[in-house]
Amino acid sequence: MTPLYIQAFGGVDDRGLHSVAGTRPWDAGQAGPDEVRRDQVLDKQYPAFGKLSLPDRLAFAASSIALTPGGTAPLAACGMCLASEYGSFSTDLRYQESIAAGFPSPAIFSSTLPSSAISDVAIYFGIKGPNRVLCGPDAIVDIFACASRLIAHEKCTSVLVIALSAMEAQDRQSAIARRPVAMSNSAWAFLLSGIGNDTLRISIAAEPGDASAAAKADDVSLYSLARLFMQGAEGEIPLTIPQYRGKIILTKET
Amino acid sequence: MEMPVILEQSEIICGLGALAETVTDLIDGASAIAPGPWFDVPVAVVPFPDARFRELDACAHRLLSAVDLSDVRPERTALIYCAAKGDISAVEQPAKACSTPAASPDLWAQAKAVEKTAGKQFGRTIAVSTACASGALGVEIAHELLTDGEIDHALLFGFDPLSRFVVSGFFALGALSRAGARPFDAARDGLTPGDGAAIALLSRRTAYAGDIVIAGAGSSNDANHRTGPSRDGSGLHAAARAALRNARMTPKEVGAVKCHGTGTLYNDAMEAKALTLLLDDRYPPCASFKGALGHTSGGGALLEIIIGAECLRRHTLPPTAGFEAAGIDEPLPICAHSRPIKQPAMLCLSAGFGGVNAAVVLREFA
Amino acid sequence: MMEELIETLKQQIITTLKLSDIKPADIDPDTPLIGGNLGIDSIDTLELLVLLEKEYRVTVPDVNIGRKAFASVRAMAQYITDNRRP
Repeated sequence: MTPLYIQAFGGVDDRGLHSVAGTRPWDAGQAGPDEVRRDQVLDKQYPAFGKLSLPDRLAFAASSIALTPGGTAPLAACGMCLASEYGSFSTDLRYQESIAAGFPSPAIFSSTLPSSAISDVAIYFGIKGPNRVLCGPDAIVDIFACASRLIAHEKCTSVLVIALSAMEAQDRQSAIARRPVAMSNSAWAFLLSGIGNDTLRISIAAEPGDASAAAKADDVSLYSLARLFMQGAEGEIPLTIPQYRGKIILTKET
Repeated sequence: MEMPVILEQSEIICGLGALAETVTDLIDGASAIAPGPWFDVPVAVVPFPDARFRELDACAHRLLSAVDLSDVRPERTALIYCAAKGDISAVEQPAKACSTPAASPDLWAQAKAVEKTAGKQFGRTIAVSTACASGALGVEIAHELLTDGEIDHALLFGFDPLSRFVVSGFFALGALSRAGARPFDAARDGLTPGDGAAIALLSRRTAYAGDIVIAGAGSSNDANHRTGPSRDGSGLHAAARAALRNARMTPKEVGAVKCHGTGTLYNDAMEAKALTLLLDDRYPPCASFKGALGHTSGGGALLEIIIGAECLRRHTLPPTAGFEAAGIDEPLPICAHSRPIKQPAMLCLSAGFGGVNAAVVLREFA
Repeated sequence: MMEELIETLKQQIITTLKLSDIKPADIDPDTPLIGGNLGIDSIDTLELLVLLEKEYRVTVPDVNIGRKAFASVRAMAQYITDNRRP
């Protein structure tokens, strides 16, 4: 895998809001990432924020944290690679409910696509490069590989990788989910480039593993990745993705 | 010696049937548009001749039986499932879904169900979902993996059947034509949803005369609006340029364009601008299949690439069904009769909600 | 009556379109709804059509009438008053 360099990151999960400045816990009374507010991730007013479906809002929040500080290279040619663990599962159910209520909702329908989670990120930050959207529990590994290949094939020089695990609480027990669902939601965004500049280098050493392993509902890899990056530390993080054996390796350029 | 990515085998199911008959009928100017109402919505659609194929299981059986995987090493093969919504039946009928263990709106689960039907364990299973461009991006991912030698074969499966879910949604967005899509036509009034499914086996090897090569692919994002394309066509133009660059080809080598051509006011206007940015006024013949087959969504992007490949093999670009008089500002050569393809290369375009644009370049090896 | 309807409409618009940063007092009943400072786009307009049908049993037969009906909150209230089915 062509090595990737982390330029910036943002994340929202149960612990709080994560950025290069550290982790900010949720406000008292805020139940977690599902209740993220616009003012916590963006300085400017953005009326569309509240309209976003839950998955789209989390992806937007993590991306905003990663991209807002600025000082990053222009984003117009940047690619976007999204790993969406559950796709638009919850939004699909909400749209179906609007059909059953007799008034199909155009707004909800326009978000019943796994790829709608990159739509507002692209629009707000003007990100016009190549796109990849993969679904499923091991999409996160494939999406780093996608980003690496985009750069290796000279299709772009930087990529925003977004890892999204988002399902509305009311749907977690849904019989049609067909596999265990994580008990809380998270979204991570890593701005990666093919050129280092004193940043840490990430590579993923992964091999297809035991495909019969049941999907693991809890994945701490990306939090660990972010923490190592914040510390400027090298390290190895075991992949906790069901279908893969391997690790994410962070090294300093020498 | 150069070893390009080759389209080895393919098959489709669409409103006009399987691949060979579909292309013959398309060239003859046929259309499978069926007047409504459908799913209680007063619009035309293009249905499968056999509605059983709206079930993923039946469809997978049919399409997998059309390809010969005996020379394929599963552990060195990627199964790439491409769908915007895929099988949405579990959401529509949850009670019925309980009796079908695999039924789920989860696209990865659907990919695994196709793998199970194939009776093999593939080295990797990838579920791609970038709205109506899903199939094209699946081809691009396969092209990269094969070029890098990470896999020896890619088995692409595209699946986006009609449903009340999808038809009601497009209707709520005001995107549907009442009587049937008329791509690029002055009287066009929207898109026509269509049933679509497709399978393709790609490999990388020495090419022989007559092989269809996946020469290159590229994508971009308009970054404009959730559902409406960027008005100036710059995003789709960027994807087309990226695909040609990836193929190490120039625009003037393109012998035909398989347009996205949905029949909506905005898409067709935007696409004409995109193609003009790419080609000035030196357009090769251009066509949209959606006036005959409807908009077959994400899985349909794969279906249309496969049809495009067969047209390239036959050196004939079908007419654009539903087209009578141009309704775009640019003199794009869309027409109501078929034309010869004089250069052995085709540019295939697709675009989807969320501003995604994807382009694939096919070449016939001489 | 009209003023009451306008106030109700403001709240319904905020709820339906999920305008999380906006309060009813922020909405001027006479300034343009679409393309104004509320960030209302074409999909929101379609949601407003659904709102009219659902809450007031009023339909908008074509785009041109729609444009006038959604010109402002007051225009919406007037359209409802004129077209509401008993």
